[in-house]
Amino acid sequence: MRKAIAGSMESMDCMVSVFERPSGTGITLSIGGSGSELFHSAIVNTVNRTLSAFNIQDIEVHIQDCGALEPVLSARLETALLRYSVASDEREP
Amino acid sequence: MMYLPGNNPNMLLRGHLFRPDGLIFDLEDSVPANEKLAARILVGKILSFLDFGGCELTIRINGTDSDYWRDDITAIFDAAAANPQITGIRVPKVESPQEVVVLDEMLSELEDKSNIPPGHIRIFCLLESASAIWRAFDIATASSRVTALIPGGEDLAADLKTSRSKDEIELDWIRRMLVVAARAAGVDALDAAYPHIHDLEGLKTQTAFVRQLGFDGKSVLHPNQIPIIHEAYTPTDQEVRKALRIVQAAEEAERRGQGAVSVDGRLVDRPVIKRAQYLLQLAGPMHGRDTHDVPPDKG
Amino acid sequence: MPENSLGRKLPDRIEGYGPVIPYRGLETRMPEGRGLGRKLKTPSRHAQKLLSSLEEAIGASGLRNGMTVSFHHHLRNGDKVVCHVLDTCARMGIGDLTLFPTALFDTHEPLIEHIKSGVIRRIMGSVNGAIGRHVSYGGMSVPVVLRSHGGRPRAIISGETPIDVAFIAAPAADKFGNLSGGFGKSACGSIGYAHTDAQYANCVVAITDHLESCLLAPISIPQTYTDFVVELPDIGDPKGIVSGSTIITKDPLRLLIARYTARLIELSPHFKENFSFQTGAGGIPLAVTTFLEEAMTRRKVKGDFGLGGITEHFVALLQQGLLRRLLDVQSFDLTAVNSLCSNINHMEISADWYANPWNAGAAVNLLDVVVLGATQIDRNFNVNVNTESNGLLLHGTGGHQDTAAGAKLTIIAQPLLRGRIPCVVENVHSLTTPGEAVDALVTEYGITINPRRTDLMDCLRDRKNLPLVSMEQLIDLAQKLSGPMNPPQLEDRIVAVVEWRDGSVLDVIRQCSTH
Repeated sequence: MRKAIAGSMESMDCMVSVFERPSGTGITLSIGGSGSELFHSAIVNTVNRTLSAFNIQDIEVHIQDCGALEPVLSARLETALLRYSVASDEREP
Repeated sequence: MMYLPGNNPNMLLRGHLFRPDGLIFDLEDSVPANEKLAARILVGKILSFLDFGGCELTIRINGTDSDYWRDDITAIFDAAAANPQITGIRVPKVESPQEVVVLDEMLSELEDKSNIPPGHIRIFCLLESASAIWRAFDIATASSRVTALIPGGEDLAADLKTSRSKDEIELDWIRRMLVVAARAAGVDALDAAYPHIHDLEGLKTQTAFVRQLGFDGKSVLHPNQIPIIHEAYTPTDQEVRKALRIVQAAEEAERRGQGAVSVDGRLVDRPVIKRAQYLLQLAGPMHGRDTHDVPPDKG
Repeated sequence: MPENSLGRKLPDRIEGYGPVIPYRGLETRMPEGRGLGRKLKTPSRHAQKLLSSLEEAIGASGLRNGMTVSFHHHLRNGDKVVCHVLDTCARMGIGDLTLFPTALFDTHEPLIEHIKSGVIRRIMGSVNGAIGRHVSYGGMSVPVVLRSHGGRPRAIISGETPIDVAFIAAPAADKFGNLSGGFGKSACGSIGYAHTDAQYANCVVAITDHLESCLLAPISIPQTYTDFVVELPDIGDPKGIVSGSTIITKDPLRLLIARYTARLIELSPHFKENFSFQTGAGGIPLAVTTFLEEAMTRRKVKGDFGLGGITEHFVALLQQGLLRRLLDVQSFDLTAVNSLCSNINHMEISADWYANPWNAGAAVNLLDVVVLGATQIDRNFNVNVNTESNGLLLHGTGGHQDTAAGAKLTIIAQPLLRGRIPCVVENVHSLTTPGEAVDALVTEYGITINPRRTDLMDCLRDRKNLPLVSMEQLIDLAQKLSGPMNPPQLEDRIVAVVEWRDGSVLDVIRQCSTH
């Protein structure tokens, strides 16, 4: 399974993890941390916009938020997706 | 000008609030090799998102001896197209005039493509070896984009086969030479940052020293260093009052068509007037003191 | 539904609270008649006040179901008395109590079990941390009543909230019932919040872990008020008694805000010989105190008195002669405790003296400057310190309302953003202090002056190193930086009533939905 992470758990940052999903299974998104309540819709918007810009249909995204503003979240997600695009297929042993 | 670690959102978003004269978004030393991509993207996003007030924005790219510098510059142009406050790149470990020429050509090409006025992106050269210091004048004159020379710290000390001491005696001659080269080439001389961030007294002493040598400013590593440097570079009330009298007398003399200017019973010549004008210019934009606060001259 | 003068919609009557008197202005509700008198009593000359156990004291106090018990919070997060008393009540089968503390802390989390079992039916006082969460999600059948440090003694003295039994944690006591906070292993300094309770409760039970064998000196609360004394091995944990919040911040952003605040004070017309001020114990206010010290020394200005929660930084100002007196309702650290015991210019005052709006003159009325915090502040400078942006009731009112109303210059000093959450908003979630009492806001973006203070605007114009930002700019900036926010999900049920210091109602806090 391919996967990638970006970001940190420092204040005003976030940790984004992306995992491969079989074709046709769609997007799953889970959000935890400080912004998960008050900024839920805003985070979902950023994720959807970024994924469509990358033309990705099937992926699992997990965000652990530590108060990241929109540009920080989108930077971390883009970094994770760029790393994901070059990641090798790591089969679980 | 304050360095901001390129992969730290908190610092990148808040650095400008401390009102330095400029910000340096660092993609080099403060960013580990596996985070270069992350920092480049983060810096790009934040540069096009925020209003940085009156700060001059530059980006320290990775050295031309690394694998990253071309990608760094490309990323900067995406941001610079969106934010005209980005006016330059700080290039580490510049060794030769040829390097500057290569950078100049790449910048011209990208400016052309991105509809940025030619020559808008300036070059700040960090000279971090003995040979670079030796060729400082040639480096400074290799392109009209070169705006400032900045000495290195640790690397230079190592290259001199010594170590960096607390009072930096080993860099003394380096600093003097760099000012001469910068002045001869008509560019600014900016000093390296003071590495001991908790020693504000030491910073004060060093800043007073480099100002006296002729440096135009100093790099900053921590927000707490900013007021100290502004204070050191802010002319005293007495200096401002004297400069005002000189400049006013010079203007008055010019209106009357007189050649000689006399202030406080002493003749002043051209260089003195120029110096007074520069001092007033310094007193204006500096944040250290309000012009309001200059008490009336009682003496 | 009727509105108060701040546009908050309030019911005429709230179940479990009673009729609502809507807020109409800072000083519009006027007291009439006389206050409560003390209960007359004449104990036998040979009676022993010192009882052998808490059970015995509770029995002797006549505490029964449905009564009101009061506590003070000078032992802060180290307090063991509140839980100990309520545990004992539960064992003795006494319930349906009204808990009337000056404040509760995280250490009181075990009280949630007593709320669930009905030992505690009602709370009048701040609800912090875990208890606040429990209340916010509808864990109590009767709404919590939030009052300021001045509103509370007003409610006691006016007879609005009579106290049946006051339990007073006393770091030092003698067997005659004389009490002090100044020494003993749980020393906390001033016990000013307990004075009014001692004077007006029907019965006073002192609980100590330091019993002097002879007459105590000096005395803070005299034996004329104390009915019973109980000695326990431990009334507090010294680590929790000394507040951790008295360390000056190292965060450059908070220092920046403190520097702007001190500069605003220095440039204001209120910074003059014999001025008085209060700064709390938070990171920013403490730093303001040290920057003010620098300004007072530089400008050769000496202050009259410092007020409120006293820290070592205030004591330093007293010792250097930069302040002539300290009025101490709460001592935050051991330096303050020692100073209170040894310096005659460092005086203990009661909550009534500190902040009650209905007496012949509280200390807050003499304040020139106060620096306060906020969880939210809005376009009209209304401040919220009770609820978080997600609607959870997590903080008490403290002296916020009283000092804001009393001081000539009230400054809110707070970062614009906490993480992504903005402090400056269009409309506060719940209202603690009306904007009519707030003069300026200081954030990392600069100074924002309430437009009615044109005199302050004039003092600050064209100061290059002091950025001025309008409230409109700040709201736009906060919205741009944090982006759209989901509003808190609320139920209709009212879980708390926020009173203004005069007992009129500023706002109600509604239950948060669980999801």
